Parts: sequence; C-alpha cells; structure tokens
Amino acid sequence: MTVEVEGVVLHLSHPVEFAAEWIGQEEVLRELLAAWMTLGEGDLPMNPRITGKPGVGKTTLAYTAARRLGREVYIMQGTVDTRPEDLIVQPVVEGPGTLRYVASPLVTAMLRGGVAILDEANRMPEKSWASLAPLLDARRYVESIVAGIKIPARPEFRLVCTMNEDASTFDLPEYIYSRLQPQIHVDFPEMEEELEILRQNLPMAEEEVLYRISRFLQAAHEMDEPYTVRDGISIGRYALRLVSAGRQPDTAQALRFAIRHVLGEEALRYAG
Amino acid sequence: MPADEALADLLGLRRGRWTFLPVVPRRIEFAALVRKRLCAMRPAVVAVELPWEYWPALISEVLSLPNYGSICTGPILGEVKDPAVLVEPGDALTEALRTANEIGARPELIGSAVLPMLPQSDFYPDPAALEWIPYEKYVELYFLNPPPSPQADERARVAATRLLKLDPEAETAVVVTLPVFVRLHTLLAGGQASEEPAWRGSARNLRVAASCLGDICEDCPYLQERYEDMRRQLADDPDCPLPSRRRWLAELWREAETNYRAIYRGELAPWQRRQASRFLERLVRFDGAVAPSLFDLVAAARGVVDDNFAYEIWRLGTSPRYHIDRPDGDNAELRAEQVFLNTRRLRLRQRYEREKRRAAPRAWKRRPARDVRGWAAQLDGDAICSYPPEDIVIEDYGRFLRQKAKTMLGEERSRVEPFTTSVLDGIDLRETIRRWHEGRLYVRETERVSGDAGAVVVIFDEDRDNRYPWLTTWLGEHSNESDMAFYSTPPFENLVGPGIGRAEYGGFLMTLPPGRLMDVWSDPDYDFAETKPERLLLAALDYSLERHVVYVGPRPPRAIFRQIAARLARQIVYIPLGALSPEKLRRIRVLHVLDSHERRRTASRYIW
Repeated sequence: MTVEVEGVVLHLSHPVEFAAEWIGQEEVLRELLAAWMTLGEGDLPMNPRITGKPGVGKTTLAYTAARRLGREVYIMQGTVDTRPEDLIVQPVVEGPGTLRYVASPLVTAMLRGGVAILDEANRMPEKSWASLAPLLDARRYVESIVAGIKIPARPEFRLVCTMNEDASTFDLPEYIYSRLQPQIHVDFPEMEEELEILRQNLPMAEEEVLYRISRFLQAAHEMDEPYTVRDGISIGRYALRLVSAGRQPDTAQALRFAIRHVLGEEALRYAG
Repeated sequence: MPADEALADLLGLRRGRWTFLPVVPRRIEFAALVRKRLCAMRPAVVAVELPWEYWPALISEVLSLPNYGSICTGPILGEVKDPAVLVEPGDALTEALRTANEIGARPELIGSAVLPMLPQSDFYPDPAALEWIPYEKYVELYFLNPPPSPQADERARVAATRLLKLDPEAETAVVVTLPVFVRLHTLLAGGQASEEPAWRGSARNLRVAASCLGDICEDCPYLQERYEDMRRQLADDPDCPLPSRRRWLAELWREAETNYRAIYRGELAPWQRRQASRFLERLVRFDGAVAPSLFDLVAAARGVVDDNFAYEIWRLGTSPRYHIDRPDGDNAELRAEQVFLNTRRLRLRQRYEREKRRAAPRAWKRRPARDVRGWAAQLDGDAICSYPPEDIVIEDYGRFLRQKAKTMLGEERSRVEPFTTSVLDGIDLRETIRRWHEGRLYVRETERVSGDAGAVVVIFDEDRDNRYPWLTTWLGEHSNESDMAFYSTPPFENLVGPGIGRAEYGGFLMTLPPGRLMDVWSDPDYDFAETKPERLLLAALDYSLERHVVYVGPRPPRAIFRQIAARLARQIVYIPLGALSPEKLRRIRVLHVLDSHERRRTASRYIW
C-alpha cells in the first residue's frame, strides 16, 4: 500500500496481528486506555510508557489495549542501533538509480490512524529519540530528512512505548522523559492471574502441574527474582515433553529438571 | 413553586408528612446533604435504612464518632463473623442517626440484619456531581435509569413493612439508599405490611484499627475528617455549600507535595504537575466520574512522579487524625473483601516490593513508625559512614557518566567525507542519500578518543544561597569505591531512623583510585574558587589521573576553567544536567548517612 505525502510516495508497513490476551491486572489496562483518551476537540492523547521486568507482558498489554480501541496495531522494535531514518522513512534502492521510500511501522500508524507500539524503546539511543520529539508534543508530526518531507499524524494515532528495566538500556533525557507520560508499571501477576495465563498457554497440562509452576513463580517473585510467567511457560512445556518422552518418571521430578535447565541451579531453591 | 420543589413532588420525595431523602451511602456529599436537610427540617422522627436488630450496638458506635467502628454479626454462641455495618463519619445513614440524636428527633431503623447490606454492590452516578447539580436533579438522574441492584427488592420490602408501621401523622424524614427508594414507591402504594423476617444472630461492637481504614473506607479518612470539620457549619449555616471533593483532594495533593519535599527532598517539576493533571482528568473521565478518588490520585502520582510521592498521598489520605485505637489493643483489622465486592489494586514499589489496593496492601512490610525524638536521643556520630547499597548505585552512575563522556567525545570528532580511496569506518548512508544528486558515496570516520575519563563532578544545584551547608570529604572503603567530596543538606537534621540521617546532594566529586583525597573544602589551593561547584571542579582537575574530567551541571563551567584544565593537561567534558534521565538523577541525589558502622545492619529497616 502506498500513500503520497508532499509529492513523495511512501510505501507503508503492515499491521501486526497475533493471538495475545491480557489476563488480570485490569488496573494497568485502565490506566493505559485512560492515557490515550482525548477530552474533546483540540485535546491531545498522552504518550504512555509501560515499564516492568522482561516477560511480564508489557507488549501484550499494549497490544490488548490497542485492539480494544479497534485500531490497526503496528509494532516497531527498538534496538541499540535504531537510527532516526529507521524510525521514520527508509530509502530502499529499487532499481538502477531509483529509490523507494518505505515508511516505518511508526509512520504507517501515524498515516493510517493506528496504534504504534515502540517496543523496548529505551534500547534506542538519544539521537533516535530526538527525531521523535515533535511527534510527542502538540506538533504531532515527524520530519523525514531522507525524503525531505514533514509527515503529520492523524488525530486517531496513538503511541505507547514499552521499556525494560535492565542494564542494557539507555537513559532518556528530560525533554523526552517529560513527553513520555504517564509511566505505567506492570508488576508480576498475582497467583490466580498467573495460573490463568499458564492455563491458556499450557492447555495440555494438568491443574496440579500449573499449580506447582505458579507456586514456584510466586515464591521467586517474593524474593524479587527476575523469573517471569514466560519462564514458567517454558518450564511447563519442557517438563511435559520430558514426561511424555519417558525421560522423567513423574511431573514433579520433570519440573525440577526443567527449572534447573531453563533457569539454572539457583532457581531450584524456590521449587519447594 | 421553585423548580426543585416541583421536581421533588414529581419524584415522590414527599408523601404526606413523610419526606424521603434517598442517598448514596458512605459518600461525604450525601452525609452533608442529610445533615443539612435534617437540621433545616427538624423532623419529629428520622427513619433510617439500617438494621433494627443492631439498635443498641449501632447507637453506641454512632455516639463514639468520629472514631470508626463496626457492628459484627455471628451466631449467639459462635465466633464473630464478617462485619455487617461500618460506622464512619462520612456515611449518610449513620449521619442521619447522629444528627437525629443531636436535634432530638426519634430514630427509627427500617432495615434488617437478615438481608446482607454489605458488601456494597450498588452503582451510582458520581456523588461529586452534587457540587454542580441540585440534589433533586441527581435523584431524577438515578430514577430515570436505575442500575440493577439484586438485593434492593428485598431490602425495599422490609423498609416498606417497617415504614407502614410508623405514625403517618408524625413529621418524618426517611433516609434510605437510592435503590430502595426507587422500589419503595410501588410497595408503599400497595399499603400492606408483610411479615418481618426473623433474625437469630447476635450483634456486637468492634472498634476498627486505624491501620486498616484505607482498606475499608469508600471515601478515604482524609475526606471524612475534612467533612467532620465542616459538620458544625452545616448545622448552623443553611447556605453552607456541600463539600468540594475536588478541592479537598487538590489540597491533599499539595500537602503530599510538602511532605515529599521534606521527607524525600523531592520537587515536582512544572511539567510533572501538568502531566499529572492531564492523566488524572483522563482517569476520572474514563470511569465516567466527575471527581477523582484517592486511588486515582495515587495512580497519577505514581505514573508521573514516583512511588514515594504516591505513597505519601496514600499515607496522608488514609491516616486518620481523629480516630484513636483502643489502648487495650482490641481493634479489628478488617479486610477490603469484608466491605467491598469490587476492589482494585495498585502496587507501590519503594525500596521493597509492596502491594497496594484501594485498600491497603496485603502482607506488606510496614515502615517503622516515625520517632524522631527517640532517634535523635540515640544519635552517636563518632564515625559517620555511608549506606552501602547507595554506594553501589552511585559508583555505577559514575561509570555510566564516564562512558557517556567518551561516547560524546567520539561523536563530536566523527567526520563525513566523499569516498575516495578508503571506506574508513563505513559508508554514511544518510549523507549519501542526502547528496544523491551528486552521484557519490560518502564515508564516515570516527576518530578514536585518546585517554580515558577520570574524575566525575555532578552539580545538581550551584548553591548560591547556601542551602547545602554540609561540606564533607570521605574516602573509598575498598579499591572499587571512589573518594568523594560533596556538599549537601545536613543529614542529621532529617532523621529517618536511629542514627540514620537523610540528606540531599547539592553536588559531588568522585575520583578513583581511592584513599587520595585530602579535605577539598579546606584546601587552600582551591581558595580562588568562587562557588562550591568550582571548588569541586578544581579538585577534580587536580586529582584526576585520566585526561578527561566529566562535569555535569545545569551550566557549563566558566571559560577560565578550560584554561586551567589545559595547563594541567586535562580536558573538561561538559554534560548538561538536562541531558540525563531525571528519574535516575532523583534516585542518586538522596544519600543516607549513618552515625556508625554498626547501623548498617539495621539501616535497611528504615531506609526507603
């Protein structure tokens, strides 16, 4: 699909669709949807950022909220070498001497009035953030230097960033930080919520197995260990395979084995 | 006839000598409204939709307001079960009894303990709307489209039965909940009293512990006590306006800001206030309400400021001033589920993980109570030292700044040129495309920076008005810990635990390897420095073993310092304070000073 902006033809990205459902923690979903509201004509939505440990479901939360709005969802992955042109418009050589301009998922969302999820956004360096500054305030546009155009966002456009809390990320300068508000922190789920997530992802597992995994995860959360439900799912899948292949005599031992091999020896102390 | 009176007649708010006051329970606006109307009407009888079976227990709780109490039920010889009624100052039903007692009206209870009144499950338009619309209009809004209330039919039947037994000629005010009022119309028109259900339980009083009030109150104790303050005015002044929830919560926010400044040395930037207000307005609208709840305030504070500020709002909102726990310790810790069907939760994370809901946290580590006088008495001060977890954080930050300085230098020195014989450090795609019409490739060369970054100076405040008088130099305790010189607020003026003081850096210098730093503040070599930051910078240039000295501050140093640096074969790398994450800066700006090494064992209990 293409769109013409100021005489330049931009090739658009494709929206993403995946089967993900946010379970539990309704409060953070409410906060995110509230932040995206506009309170009348001329009012602008906020640009929230979702923070939390890896694997707590930040992207799923953002995706679920976007789907509730009934909009197209575009996900853009932030990396340490994401450059401004990656975020906005990239030139691609189309043939001898000709270029084709490809809009990033972010710009596509702006042009189509969709929702852009800037995933793991704090892995991007400050220079890339600087190119987004006008988009994050009342101006609501970006400038593509390579295509020489100014691209305005449609009023329906919404943006959310997800950010990890680990050491491999960049600090945001204040002028960006103040534009990415509010911060919505996603914590580890409660035991019932975690059980439900495990149930959805491990439909073949017996309730007893799910309960054991959930109890393990809760014990780890108590001690602020970084193990998440994503690890729990990996442990469950591995343990079930071990049992069905006859490599472990029962699920209890298979789970211990899986915990040791997925997370390491030190995780066994929470296995009960 | 005024429009409101006509509407009251239309809604059936008056029936013979009975005046109905349908209310939303446990909301201060309705408590105020009931008090105001009862004081103006002075009826002979006040009928209230509270269980008649609780009579003696209930009135004794009402008389001990503003202390919070509850009535517990249970079998006669059995164990006490869940509380049935919470008696709190800001509840319209208990306020009706309290005011009736004050104006000499005869109280009549028309509810029944057989029907569970709680947990609360009725839904109402936001009572804060009473600040803008007349009471009758509010009742009409509810009347036109009453939300489903599964228990209300039975409650209305009991209320009608008991009402029909009252004297129809006595001037009576009937205070009932809105769902019951809506259903009473048809039942009273029928005019036949049905049989009253029999109750075989027992009721007894239970004083509620102050610590659980945040958990179980619909309107937070802060609002209820503000209401308590205005009760007298409501009785005396017929023109007294109803409580303004929005104004009171704004005052709560301001008080929390003051505490946040005093306890955490935190300051809200103008953009934080602006963004918090935007977020709060959205949270309110999202719920279809007109005023925020304490929960919304906490969510906004946490989303835009930090967890410490959110905690301060929570603490202020839920700590009662008037309620006194029983000295014999017979105070009940109630759970949110005992009085609410729907709870929402929000976790606040300070130094330790803890959990919050509208209600207070479950199994969380509570802070030790503040006892500044007791702590001051224990102050030793023989050998002050730092708090090791903060040392780690600040060392990490020093490393980060050194790395950032090097990266900045590298970027400053990179250059782009047309491709001739070497691709150097790679093709610069951006420049090549920008000059596509030239038909040439452009390549980039990144010059390597020679020398490393050594000493680091971070200035938060240049301190021209001497707000940071505590001047200290201390040495690293091991080979990976920097020597530091800093100016800060006096730590022992803000005690957070026995022998543990909290201070805020104005600025600091860090230098490695440790064990070399003389007392920077009395060193005559630096006497020509005009300010504290300049003295730190001079020391940094002096002590740095590496070529680059990192200087972070709101303003770059004066030009003369570049010359001084050059003479010492040093170079100052200036990083503007605004280029760094304010969140991180806030985290490192606070330090705790312990009065002896032994304190380190217990410090984690007091430092948040």
